[in-house]
Amino acid sequence: MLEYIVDLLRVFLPILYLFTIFLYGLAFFLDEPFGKRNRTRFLVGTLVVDFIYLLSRSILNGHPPTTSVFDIMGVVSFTIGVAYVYIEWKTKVRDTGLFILSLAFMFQVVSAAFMKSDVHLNPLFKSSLLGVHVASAMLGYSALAISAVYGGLYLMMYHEIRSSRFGLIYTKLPDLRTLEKLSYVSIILGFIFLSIVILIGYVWLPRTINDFSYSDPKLIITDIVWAIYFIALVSKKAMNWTGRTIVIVSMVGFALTVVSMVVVNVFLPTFHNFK
Amino acid sequence: MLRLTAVSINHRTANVESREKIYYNSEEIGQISQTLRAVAREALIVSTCNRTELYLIPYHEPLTNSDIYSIISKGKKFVDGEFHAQYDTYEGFEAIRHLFTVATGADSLMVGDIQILGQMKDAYNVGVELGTVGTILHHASQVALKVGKRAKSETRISEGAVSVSYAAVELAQKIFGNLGGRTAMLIGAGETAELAAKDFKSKEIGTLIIANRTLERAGNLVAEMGFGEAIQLDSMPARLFSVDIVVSSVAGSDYVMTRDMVAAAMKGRPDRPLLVIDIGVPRNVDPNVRKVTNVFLNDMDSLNLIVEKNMQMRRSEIPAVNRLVDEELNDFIRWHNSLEVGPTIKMLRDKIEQLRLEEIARYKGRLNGTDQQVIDEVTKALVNKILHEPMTNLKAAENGIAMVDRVKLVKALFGLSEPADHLPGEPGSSSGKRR
Repeated sequence: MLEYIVDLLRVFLPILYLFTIFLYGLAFFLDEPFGKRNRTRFLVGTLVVDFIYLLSRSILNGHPPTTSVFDIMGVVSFTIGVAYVYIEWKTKVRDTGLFILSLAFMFQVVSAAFMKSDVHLNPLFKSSLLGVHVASAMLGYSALAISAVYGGLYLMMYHEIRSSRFGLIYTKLPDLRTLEKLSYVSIILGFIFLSIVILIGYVWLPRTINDFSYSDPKLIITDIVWAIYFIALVSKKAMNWTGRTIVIVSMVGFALTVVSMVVVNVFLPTFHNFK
Repeated sequence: MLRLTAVSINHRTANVESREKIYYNSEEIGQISQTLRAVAREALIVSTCNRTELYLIPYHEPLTNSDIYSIISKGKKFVDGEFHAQYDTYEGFEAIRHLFTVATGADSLMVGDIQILGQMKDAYNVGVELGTVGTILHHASQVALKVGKRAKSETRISEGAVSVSYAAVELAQKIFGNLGGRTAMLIGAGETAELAAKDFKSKEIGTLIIANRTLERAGNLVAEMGFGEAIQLDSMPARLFSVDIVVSSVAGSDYVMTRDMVAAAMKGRPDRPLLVIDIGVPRNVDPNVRKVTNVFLNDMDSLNLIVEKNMQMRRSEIPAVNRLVDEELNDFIRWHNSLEVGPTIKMLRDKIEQLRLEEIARYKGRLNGTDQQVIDEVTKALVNKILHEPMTNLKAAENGIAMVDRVKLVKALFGLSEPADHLPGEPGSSSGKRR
């Protein structure tokens, strides 16, 4: 029964995400009242369904769905959605949802398409430290993804004003300062979560895993990503980076993160998949 | 039906000269209130620079449109032939719809104008003070204010700058967000600079610098604004480094701001944006300034484009606003219809009671005291039981038949009629708009 529900939701979830984006699109492009009224409600509903799906998979497999890059993409999609709802609630900025949730949808589709059923239970997954480690990683990468999207929106708005076009982007998006702030705050949150991930990893992994190696590609790339953001944040303070520079750093940082993670997870051997 | 008539002299029907003549201030509304009370149970005058409107519920005989037009024009004590204007008239619930539409700003000269809401509130307060606003116009005014607020918050009809100087401020806000703590420099001290200074002041700009060829004129504008700093135009390049927004509007054939000037200022602040708005004709700022990184250069064409797009956007919101008006109008009609239920129930009860008493009186001679008492109690109980269900159904909110139809049906079946002055509206008046 549970397996049937999981299979059903796996197909159904991308459709829900797509419909949510459709509502955000209706509101953004056409100012359609139905879209405006229901977009956030539908997003929250989609996230509740996603949560039920992730919970069902965890019960079915005996561990959270975080053992492959495609599993992780599914969870990142969910955390991006949750983080966006929080941002929308805090800032009352609703017209950026179309862009942020498109990223979540992309992750969701790839995850649903390539995810494989896994009923193997690794004893490591009984550790509560792993829960914090994985949750922090998901939140961290989601925050960095959101930061990159806000960075992209900043650049779109920047060029719209520079070229005196004043189209939909100018009318609908919040001001450059707000977009910069949203991008920067997301970097800080991403960096904090990434720091927690690394800290727990270095304390806990050597004690738990027999073939632990500091030269593991996944560890190295996580350290590099962390270092990039660390340098960016220090430089911002030291050299007073603002505006365009900081959002470009955010976008480049996230692009490097995605490329590295895909390369490491797909092409390089790592002890770090827990299968 | 609602026996309400509205006459509207507005920006579509009359030119500005006529609108100025017919404008009523609150004192003049007070003077005309006696006349209004003599002919109407309720009256409300809404008067602004773009419209003067009279909403009126007469006591008995319906007033013709020309009667109402005559009241409104005589109130201003015009001599014959001094005032002529076309006017719109609305009757029944169409008058209420018009009142609601006016409150949303959808009928304003500047679509989405939010001042109208405050003006309608003032008009309502004056009406209450003078005692010309009664149950119907009180409720209509309250709903009008509500629908006006809903239009502002639920649609984009009031969004976006619709004047060039405000478009400049809006542009600055799109770049810097909150303008508090920012520095604006106005080049020139003429009328445009004054408008821009006022708009920046309303947005609580941190620092205002006014640069002008004549220092005295710049100083005068600073004094008028009550804050800011006046500088000589020659000092402008040296101050550019610390400025976030420049609005230039001086006369002259040469550029007052060159690319080299701006590039030099931006060297020490590469990440901090500079917004330059050139409203001068001919242009005051070298167009190549646009090529300097982090400099946003916009001219009169850009600002006009913003204004035009905002106007288009506001106009495109009118259908959404009309939907809100329809929603609130339907609620109003339901509320109004429910007003007729109470008096109808009373009339029905009175009529049946009268019949009961008449029948008892007919048999009075044939009954002894105890029998009379018993018959009285039995007929009372019977009447109550017979009337209980029809009355409950009459009052019920939804039972498949519209309340107004139920009231009409009961009145027709039982031959009920009401005193002319009893109800807020009377059947038979037409609804619609005429000019």
